[in-house]
Amino acid sequence: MLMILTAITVSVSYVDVGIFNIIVAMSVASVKATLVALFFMHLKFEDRITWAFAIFPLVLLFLLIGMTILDTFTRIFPV
Amino acid sequence: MDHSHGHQMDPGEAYSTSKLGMWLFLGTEIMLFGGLFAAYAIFRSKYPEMFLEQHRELNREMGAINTCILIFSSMTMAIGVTAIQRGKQKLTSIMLLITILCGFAFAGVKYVEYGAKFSHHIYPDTSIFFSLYFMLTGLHMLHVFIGIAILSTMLVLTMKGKFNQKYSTPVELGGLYWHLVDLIWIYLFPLLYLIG
Repeated sequence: MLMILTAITVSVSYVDVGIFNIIVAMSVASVKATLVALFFMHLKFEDRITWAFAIFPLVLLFLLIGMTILDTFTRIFPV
Repeated sequence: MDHSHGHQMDPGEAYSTSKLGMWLFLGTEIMLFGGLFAAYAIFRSKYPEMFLEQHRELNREMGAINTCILIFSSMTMAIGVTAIQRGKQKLTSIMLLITILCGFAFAGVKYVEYGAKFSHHIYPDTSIFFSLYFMLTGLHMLHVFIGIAILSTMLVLTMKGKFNQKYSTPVELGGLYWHLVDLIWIYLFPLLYLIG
């Protein structure tokens, strides 16, 4: 399954569909990542607290990247 | 494992606690790479043409091969963990060995890639894009080597018969670390090689 997804991402990268390139690439990467986490890392069969430990960093990551972008692109004075 | 404090921890509890601890550590690793990903996001938005133009220098075929190597090694790792949970020491050793060899294969491909870059006079200080490229893949490569070291230790211990169905925690934790290495690459590959 993962191999198929890799094949998809790579082939799509050869086609230029504008903004969709990044959306497709990121979505496929996320699906692959989720599969690895759920099955290879056994997350599907773990208890709630483990899920919390696994999901929380993603929240933090979202904040890190999101807030930095918000900051740098809403600056009035040029940097 | 020895507990010198006199109070013996219930092995089931020790197992789930150490696994949780590992997940906590993985969280910190995600944040570590997260900082670099944030830098990537910002510089990409500021200089889209540079990213588009320069990412073409990267060899996406080699990147794709590396992706397949890592995903395959994640699979062998998972098989290895399941094997030791069923007490199959020999199968675990074989799977660990294959995973480690995949790690070296990944390193080999990256060595070739870096070599090609350097021979074209492309270095980390050539541009912001390549700064990010070398930092991200370099840090990831470091993690691959750490993973190889951890898994090699696990291999030696497994061959010595230290693990069985009752006690397989270190192998599992090492497996989780290796899967993280794979996860990070799954995101690195499209961001650096594929999108224009």
